[in-house]
Amino acid sequence: MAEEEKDSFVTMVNPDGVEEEVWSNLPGHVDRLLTLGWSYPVPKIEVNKIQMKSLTITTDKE
Amino acid sequence: MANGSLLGKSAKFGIGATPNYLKGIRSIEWDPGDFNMVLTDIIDEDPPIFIVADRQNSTITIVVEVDKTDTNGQVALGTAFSGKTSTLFTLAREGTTAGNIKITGSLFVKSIGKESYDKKSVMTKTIVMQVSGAYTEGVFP
Repeated sequence: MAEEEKDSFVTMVNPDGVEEEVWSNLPGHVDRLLTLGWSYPVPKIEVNKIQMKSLTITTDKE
Repeated sequence: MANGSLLGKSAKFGIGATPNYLKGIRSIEWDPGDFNMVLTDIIDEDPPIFIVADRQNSTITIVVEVDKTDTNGQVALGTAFSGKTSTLFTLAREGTTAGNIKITGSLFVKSIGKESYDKKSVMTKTIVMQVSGAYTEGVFP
């Protein structure tokens, strides 16, 4: 790593399931952690509440 | 102990541009290296004389209690060792408060140390690092 470079970090999940900031511009570090059981976090999807006014379910059987 | 004697208990060693100080350090050994002495070999100059050339062989040796949760410290040093990658370092001999001496530079990990598994004690290992090129002395702001 050159002297003028700055550290950069990426969020990863350690083998215990805890998120940590990991040094990402040290060559090979992220790849090595992946082999040690680390993973990238699963993106969190926020579901908005849906207001339902009415719901009709019909079946073709009487 | 003299009034101005340094105590080693506040010493820290970190890697990276914004130092990640290693966890579990038991001891740090800093060898500033020596100057390479070169013998002049100039025709008609008799006798040859020594002149001081570049500084070389500065090394840092640390003993750590192995901590696999020290991701950006001990584990990163392992990565630098495997990948033969140089990394920036900061050595804080007295600690990191303002006015304390700070030694910075770049290094290669020469040896990541033997591990032995003693059932009655904490696992430690010795990491030997070779400073690459010149280092800089300054103070913490």
